[in-house]
Amino acid sequence: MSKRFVLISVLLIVGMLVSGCAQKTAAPPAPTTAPAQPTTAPAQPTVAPTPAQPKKLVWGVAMGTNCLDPAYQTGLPDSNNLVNIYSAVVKHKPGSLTEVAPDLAERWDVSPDGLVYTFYLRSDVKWQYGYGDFTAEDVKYSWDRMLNPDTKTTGATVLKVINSIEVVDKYTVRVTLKVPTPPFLINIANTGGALIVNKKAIEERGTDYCLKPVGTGPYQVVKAETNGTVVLAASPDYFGGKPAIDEVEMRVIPEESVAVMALKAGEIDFMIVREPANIAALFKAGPDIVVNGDPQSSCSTYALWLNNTRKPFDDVRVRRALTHAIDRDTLAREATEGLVQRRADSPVPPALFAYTEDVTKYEYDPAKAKALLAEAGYPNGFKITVDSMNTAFNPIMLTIVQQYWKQVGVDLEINYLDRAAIRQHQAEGNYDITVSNPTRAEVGLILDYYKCQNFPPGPNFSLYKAPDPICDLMNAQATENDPQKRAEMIKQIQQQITNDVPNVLLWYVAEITAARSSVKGMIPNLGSWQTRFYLFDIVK
Amino acid sequence: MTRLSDDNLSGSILFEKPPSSAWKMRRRFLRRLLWTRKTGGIGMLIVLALIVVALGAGVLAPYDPADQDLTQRYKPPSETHLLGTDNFGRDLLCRIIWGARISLQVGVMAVAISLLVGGALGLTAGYVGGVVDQVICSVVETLMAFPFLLLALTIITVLGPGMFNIMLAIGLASVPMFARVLRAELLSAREKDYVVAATCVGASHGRIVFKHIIPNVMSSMIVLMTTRVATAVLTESSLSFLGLGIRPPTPSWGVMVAEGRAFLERAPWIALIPGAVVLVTVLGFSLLGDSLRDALDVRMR
Amino acid sequence: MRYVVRRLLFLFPTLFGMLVVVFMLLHITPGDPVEMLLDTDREFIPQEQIDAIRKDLGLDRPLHEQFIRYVGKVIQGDLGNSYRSKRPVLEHVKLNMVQTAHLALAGIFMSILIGIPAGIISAVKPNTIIDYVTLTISMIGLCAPTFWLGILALYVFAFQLKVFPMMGDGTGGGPLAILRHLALPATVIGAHSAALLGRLTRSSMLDALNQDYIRTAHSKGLSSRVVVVRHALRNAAIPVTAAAGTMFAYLLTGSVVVEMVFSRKGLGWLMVTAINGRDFPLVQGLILVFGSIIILSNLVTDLVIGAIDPRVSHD
Repeated sequence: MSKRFVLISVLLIVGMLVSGCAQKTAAPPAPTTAPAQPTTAPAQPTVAPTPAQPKKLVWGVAMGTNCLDPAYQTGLPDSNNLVNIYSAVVKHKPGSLTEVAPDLAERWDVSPDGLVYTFYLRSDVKWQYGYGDFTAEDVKYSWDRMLNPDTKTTGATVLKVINSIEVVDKYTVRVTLKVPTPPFLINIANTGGALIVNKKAIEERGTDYCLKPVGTGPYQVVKAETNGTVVLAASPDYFGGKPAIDEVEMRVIPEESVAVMALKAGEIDFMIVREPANIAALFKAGPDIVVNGDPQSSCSTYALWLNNTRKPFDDVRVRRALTHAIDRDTLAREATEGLVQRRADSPVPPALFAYTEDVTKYEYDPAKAKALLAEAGYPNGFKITVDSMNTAFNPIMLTIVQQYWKQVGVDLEINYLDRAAIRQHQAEGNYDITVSNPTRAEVGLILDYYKCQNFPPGPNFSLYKAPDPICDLMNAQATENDPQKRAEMIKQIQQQITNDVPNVLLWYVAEITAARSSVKGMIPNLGSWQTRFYLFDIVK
Repeated sequence: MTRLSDDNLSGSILFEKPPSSAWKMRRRFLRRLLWTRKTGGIGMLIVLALIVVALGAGVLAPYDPADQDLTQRYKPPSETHLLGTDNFGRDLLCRIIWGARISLQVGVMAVAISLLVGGALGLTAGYVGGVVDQVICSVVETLMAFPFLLLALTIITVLGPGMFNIMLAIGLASVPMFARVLRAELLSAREKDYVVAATCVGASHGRIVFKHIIPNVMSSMIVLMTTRVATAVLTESSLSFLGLGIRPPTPSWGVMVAEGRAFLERAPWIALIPGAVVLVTVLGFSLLGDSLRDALDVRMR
Repeated sequence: MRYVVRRLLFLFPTLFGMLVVVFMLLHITPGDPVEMLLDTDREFIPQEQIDAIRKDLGLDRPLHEQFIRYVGKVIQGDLGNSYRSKRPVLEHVKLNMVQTAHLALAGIFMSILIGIPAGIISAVKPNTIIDYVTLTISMIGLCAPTFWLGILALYVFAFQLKVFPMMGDGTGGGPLAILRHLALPATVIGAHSAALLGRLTRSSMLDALNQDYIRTAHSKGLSSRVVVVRHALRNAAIPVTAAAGTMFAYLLTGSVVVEMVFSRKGLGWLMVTAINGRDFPLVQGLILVFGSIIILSNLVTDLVIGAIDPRVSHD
């Protein structure tokens, strides 16, 4: 080869390098905070009786982490790591969405009027990385911090009912609520915002805290990158004993079909599955792969939210017709590759408190749908637009619904928007139909989606105006201390909602996870933001 | 005459005028295009086949491309479904046939938009010159500094997805390229004797532009348009991959390739066939474009 | 020298123009960055809280004021903080820059490896079977959708044959691991510009071969191999170098998709997440970075051409 040609190629490459680096050198150096190094080296397990190889679990997720501070978490990778780094006062009883179990609190009392909660805390809890003993002061600090407007957090909604927090003694804390809130314990078990943080660590680490958090949970952060990966190691200080898996690495894989290949090839052990096509691929993957997702324990109702203030959805006959027009059992089965067999009849998911089957049901009946449409004055149907994100079950569900509605003369135009645009439309109430699956582990929070005062920007996406007594009932159930009475109220609400069909209920969506069969101890019905790795084990 | 602006920043294009006798020229041109290098013939064949399929979709396709049959999902190629069925039980062949129409439409419309906007900008800049030229040039240079896909991505985020918006986004993202090439062509055409002569005898601006200049920049435009149709078809599929594709039930190749990627093992035909079809289509346009470039003797940076 | 200074000065208005365009586009895009920060999948956030965050981010001010503030900060070298991670944009860029630089360099290497031989063959042996075969191979990368080719490559070489790793960038595994992780993505992205390079090599080779001095060389009795390598190739190198600027733009564009498919934490991926999350400072900062890279690489290309081709003069 000619020397000159080689020279040119080298020059070329150097040129690229220079031009690539020019931006870096031209700009002043960014604050020299290496984002990923914890101040303290990951503590070696003091006792290492097992000579066996450390067990490592790798899980795949589509987005990177941003902030591992309960106050500023912004999505699934954050929240999923949070529950493993921190402890809460109470946590979900494994496998249940309606019962709580002790976490930092060993036991608790509730006053008869439902206003005062007294938590008796564990005395053997230590903060990670040598930040001292956990005390009642930490609980007060954490929750006061969340409630302080200067913190500018968005994760404190369920704590808003707190009137005051009082430290009784070193290991006892008393919380007084503004109004009786029967699901208070479930709510604090369920939200990342209620996790307990350490004042000293937050103040010391300042802006670095997001990537160098300190908790009392089973895992501590070894390495966390902005918008990237998180590596957790079993905390030697955890009060619940050393977890079975020593190291947990979160790997960011934006393309889900690649994550599926990686899972099959054994490069990752666990993943959360969003796209139905990939569920199908995993079902066919053979005995090495286990797919989890039990719709019976779902806390999420998938629905088409019809804008009840717009024509033609202001007519209940039209809403009923559209529900009758879809064979929702087939839809659920085909869209989920058989994972879900049945449609949703009640807005409340079956795993939640006060779910009832005793509601108005809408069978597949295209003839009836046509008749109802004709009765409402639309014998030739109409044209309508749905706003939706182009992810998860939406595309397959909408494409099938489009076909069903076409048969009764309703022409559905699908308008795919990205998450940001959808959010804006939902906040404005600006759509004919929008798609959403409210995922709430507490029935009261599900009912928020139907409350009369929650018109957009609130979450009442159907802009559904329930009859006044039912509106009152929806508010009253939130403070009803008698479980029996509350259940009865919620049942009545469900019956009214299904009678008015503000939205077309589709099916109960389960969080779908897939794992290598060597991963044991997964509890399928915890929401994906509650993947607790200390319950896992790897048995080869 | 206005000053000829400096051409450093926009690249120079040399252009040789083809021989004068029209008939001889055409015959020579066709021979060069189709015969001297057979790839041109192949490209032409692919593109013609595509146009025939697109126009005749209604006759050629055995079923309605939107017709779902949920009992017939993931069926491999067979006698009833020559290319198998997709994840909705829709006939893949029909979707590909109808998809040809959609893809051609996207490609041609996108190019038409960029030609219209970019052409107007380029012509104005090159013909008027002076401050106008400088302003247009700097705008075009600014837009050229955006990576193409990112520009299309941002435009589509603003407009929202949908077939027309996708055409518009791809078209607009190509505008700077058209403007730049056209302006450079114009500058070189203007120097030609016959244009100078026409100016001297007092021909109107419109006459000069349409009678003398446009015919002379045509060949480079034809080449550019052919290759940009290929780019448009590819960009449409990339946008589908990023979740911003054409809406269902419109059978778009881009969406088919993007959705098919998950079925690589379970139903490989859903993943492979639309991808191969896109590949062949783009190959056809690229080969044709390259051969046109050779045959018309157009050089571009 | 004057030319370089002029070109460098031109960089600033161009970047400013890009900022204006992006700023406007972002603000007319549907979707509220504040909404994107809220985890409202699980909780319902009251309006006061949303307003407080909006104020905190400065998004409550009039548009022109936001723009002036932003540009003022940029002039001082501060690209602001990402809305989502609260970290400086520059830190994001630094973290992800390496992966994209690796990918781009390896991509250029691969396209040279594929494109130049293909171009030479088709120029030296035009219209033979070998010409058409190499042409077709070099065109595949250009003609197939990049993500499709990438997933196919992953499926065959990483999943079935297990020759290359499935994902990631090999950071922390030494140079060999980095190269192994680069092999597939660089081939996919490099194949894209290979056809372009091949085409240019071919046409400039053909031109060179028709020049008088080559004919002279032939008539002097030099073997055609020597003629090709020593004379023709040297001249062919100029237009090929000229294509580098365009190629670099291709590579950056391709990096968006390739980084998503191969799970590489690079700038393209960062850009897509930033657009989707309406992380305005991050999008704006990245556009500045992309723009600078493209403009500077064009400049360097022009300078290199000027240095090796006596016919080109910049003054």
